[in-house]
Order: sequence, then C-alpha cells, then structure tokens
Amino acid sequence: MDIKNKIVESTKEIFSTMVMMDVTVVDQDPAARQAIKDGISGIIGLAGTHKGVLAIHIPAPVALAITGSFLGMEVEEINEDVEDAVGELANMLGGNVKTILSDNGRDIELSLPTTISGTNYDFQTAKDVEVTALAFATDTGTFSVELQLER
Amino acid sequence: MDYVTVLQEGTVEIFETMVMLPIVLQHVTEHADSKLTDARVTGMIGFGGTIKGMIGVSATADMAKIVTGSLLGMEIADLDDDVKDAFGEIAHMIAGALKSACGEHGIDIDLAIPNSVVGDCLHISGLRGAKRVVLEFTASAGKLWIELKYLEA
Repeated sequence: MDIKNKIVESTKEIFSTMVMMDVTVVDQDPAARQAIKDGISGIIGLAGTHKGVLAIHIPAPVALAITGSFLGMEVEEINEDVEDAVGELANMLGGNVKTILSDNGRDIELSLPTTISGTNYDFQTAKDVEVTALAFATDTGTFSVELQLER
Repeated sequence: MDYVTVLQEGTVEIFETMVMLPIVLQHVTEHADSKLTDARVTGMIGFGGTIKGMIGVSATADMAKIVTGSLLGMEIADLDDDVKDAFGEIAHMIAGALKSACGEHGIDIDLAIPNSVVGDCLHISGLRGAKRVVLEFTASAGKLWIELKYLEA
C-alpha cells in the first residue's frame, strides 16, 4: 500500500470538495522540517492498531486564504475561525488516514484535533516514528501535510 | 470521573519520582478558553476511545530548562531537542496516568504518540465544544501548565 499517494489523493479531494480550492503536490522539502516562521498547525492523534500523529502546517497567508475559501468569507488574521478551519482540516485528513490504514477505519481511534499558532515555532516528533511528509501548492503559497506512525 | 484529581495526583507523582522536581498546584481553570501566553514549550499527546482528547504540558522557558535538566540530570542552556524530548515524554507519562485511571473506571482509551513544539507567541486551541481543564503548577523556577481537552462520546 502506498500511503504517500493515498495521502495526496485524500488531501486533493478534501481541498477540492470541502475547501473549494485546488492544490497540487510539489517536490520540495516540506515546511515541517524547518522552523515555522508565522503560521498555524493542525494536529490530530491516531491511537489503536496504528499509533501516530497527522499534522498540517500552514503559513499564515495560506491559512487565511484556505479559511476564506472554506467559509466563503474574507479572513484577515489568525482568529478562531482559522483555528476551527485548520482543526477541521486535521480532523478530515485524520479520518481519511484512519480509513487508509485500517479496513473501514476500525481499530483506530482519532483524538481531538488541536491547533498551534505562533510567530516562530519548531516541532519535534517522537522518536522511532516513520514520517511521511508532503508539500502542496496553492495560489497563495505552500503548506505541508505530515503523517508520523510508530514503527 | 474527577479528571482534575487524576491529573493533579498523576502530575505530582511523576514530577516527584521521575523528574525529581517537586511542584505545587496553584489553581485550576475549567472549561474556559485559556491562553498560556508565557508558555514557550509544549509537549502534547492525543488519545481516542470512549473519550477522545489531548493532553498538553506547557512551561515557561526557564521552567522548561529546569524540568529538562532535572529529568536528564544535566545542565540545559537552550530550548533544544532535549527539552522537546523531555516534554513529549512527560506528556506521555501524564497521559499514561490518565489512561490507567480511566481503565479503573471502565473507560477505555488508547494513546497516540507525543509531539512537542518550542516557539514564540504560541497559541493552542482546541475543538469547539470540547471540555477543557488547565492546572497551573509552580516550582521555584516558574510555571508549568497541564491542559486536558476532551469530548465524551
């Protein structure tokens, strides 16, 4: 099973059907590998037969554009609407990953999504995890999606 | 189940026996939007099952260095990878205490894996509708917060 391609498919599908925005996968080092200068991340845990974390890291301007498109309104700053939208994106991606990893999503439980925003922050994953990270392009800029699974 | 007591007892015990740094509970904020504006480090871990949620352990910069130094038995100068590892690990231990207390009450939860973040002006938010409890602890060096967000099925 090629998890990478399935995450690409899911992300594209969620963006085209829910966010109403087309995204393309780009060949670049995903933002998650560097410190995030000004942005927001949505994170959701996976527990059960597969343990892990699904995260989406979005620079502030891209997060505003995504939230604006998702809610159909103008968004000017990282506020509760943006946090809700990014948390919801993590939730939807987590739901899809659950189905990808386990037959019909049985045996895997999702945690609640959380968002973290800040002006300069840096993530660290647990040790002994397999990381699948992908960068996606929108008209406003790129964002990344990262899946960490315990080995 | 009394989540506050479980988290308080679990955290105090973990700090006494594993971190070797006694801490004191100052106050508890329930179900309010809390902005931990002084937090520079957060370790967090998600869990799912009968209740689903997330546990976060956050601290000020000075507190984070003291906690990590005490856990590892070495001097910590910067908010480096050791600090991130330590906070991920502490979040994991506290979630373990919550899991076993839940088990005693017949509530089944499974833990995800921890992540940690170091940064400026961090703002952490939960899901609308989820319950939220924040316990603020202090030691001589500063403040530490344990945050539980959960949703009962």
